[in-house]
Amino acid sequence: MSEEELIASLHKGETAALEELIRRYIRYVSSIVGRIVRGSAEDCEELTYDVFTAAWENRSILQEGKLKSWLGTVARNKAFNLLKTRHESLPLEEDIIVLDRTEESENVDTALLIEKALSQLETKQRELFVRHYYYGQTLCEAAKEMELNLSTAKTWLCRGREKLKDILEKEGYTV
Amino acid sequence: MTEIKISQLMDNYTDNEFFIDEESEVNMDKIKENVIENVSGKKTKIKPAAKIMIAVAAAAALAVGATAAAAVISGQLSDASGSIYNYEVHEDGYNISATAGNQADILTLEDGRLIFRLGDNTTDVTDLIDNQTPYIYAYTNADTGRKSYIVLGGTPEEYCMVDFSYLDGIGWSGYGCMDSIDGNAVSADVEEDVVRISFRKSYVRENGEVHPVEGGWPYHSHFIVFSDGQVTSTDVPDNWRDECMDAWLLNAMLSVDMIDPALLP
Repeated sequence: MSEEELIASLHKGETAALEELIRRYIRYVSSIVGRIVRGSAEDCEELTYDVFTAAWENRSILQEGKLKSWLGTVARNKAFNLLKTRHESLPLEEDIIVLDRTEESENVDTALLIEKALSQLETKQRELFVRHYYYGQTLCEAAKEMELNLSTAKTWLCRGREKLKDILEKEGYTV
Repeated sequence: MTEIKISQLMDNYTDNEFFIDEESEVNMDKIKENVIENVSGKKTKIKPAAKIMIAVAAAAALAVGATAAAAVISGQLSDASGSIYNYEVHEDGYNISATAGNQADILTLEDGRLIFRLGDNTTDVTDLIDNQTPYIYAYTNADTGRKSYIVLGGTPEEYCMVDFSYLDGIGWSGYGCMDSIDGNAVSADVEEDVVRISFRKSYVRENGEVHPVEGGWPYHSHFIVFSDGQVTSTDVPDNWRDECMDAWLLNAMLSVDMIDPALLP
């Protein structure tokens, strides 16, 4: 079944399509939530269940080409919300960027923007950026798992932010 | 000036590179089962053993809402699709409560074909049914030893399934119409009135849309009771036989002597 057919079936409310959606993406969703909450299998199961339930309840808005990112976003949000309720969320390094939008920047596709910025990083640097800003892993933990010293990790992360700012400026933002 | 979080910009990122094939400790089968059961209405939407009051036509001998007299007959049975009936027959009427079964698993739409699956039986019924012609699966009810029927009909665009069981002292009772408009097995929302299969189609014909209910779920009819060959619901309009009841369903019920053809116009 193509993604177009899957979405069409979901829009029609066919539970067979939901089963197929789960079959295709359960590993992806559970790995996102698992990586963020780093907790019990029970938390992961509950969050994964919540994500697919949300997908079903919001099936009318699911779009071809954006399905995986939608699931990923919902999975991240639910996982981060769980951490917040337990007061377990930790601040990320220099997470805030101050931007001034211009007319040019109004129609920028932020997905492409992120992709462009990250593609300019070397693989390991990109991995670190993703671990920290996507999965919310602390810099210490990420550095440890990647066998980097903390100073190198900070430098790499800074490089990632600079690349992102460069791309934002090229797309019409003032950073 | 706008402050934006990098972590929020990352909402638009999809990890296709780093942690996509990680082993997970979660029980994926259990999650899938729970999600499907939840959206099919089998778990959270059903309150077991809630009362559904069936209104009674003036011509019929039974009255609804019997509560004062002690039950003359009471029983419980489950049908092939997992719906569970609890019923009581009193001197002045009867009560039935029911919970939905797994009808959505029995009749599925797969690549444009309608597939019937029950036990060892897997049949592509697409070419065996239409709006006039039913497919009838007879089985013996494990609780009562009586013959029961799963009846299905329609087209891949609009199909329906009812699992009929015979309730002692009441008659034939059907459960489990699947609303093919949204593809879900019907769940018995016990806070809503009981509606027959035909009502849904009549409503759609008249209004061009499914009947709206709280929560956005379409209204499904999921309960038909026949006693002594007559439909015993006062919700049925006078012209139910020639307008509301789908032909395939009527033909099915006639073919298994569920209703008396002499009562038809």
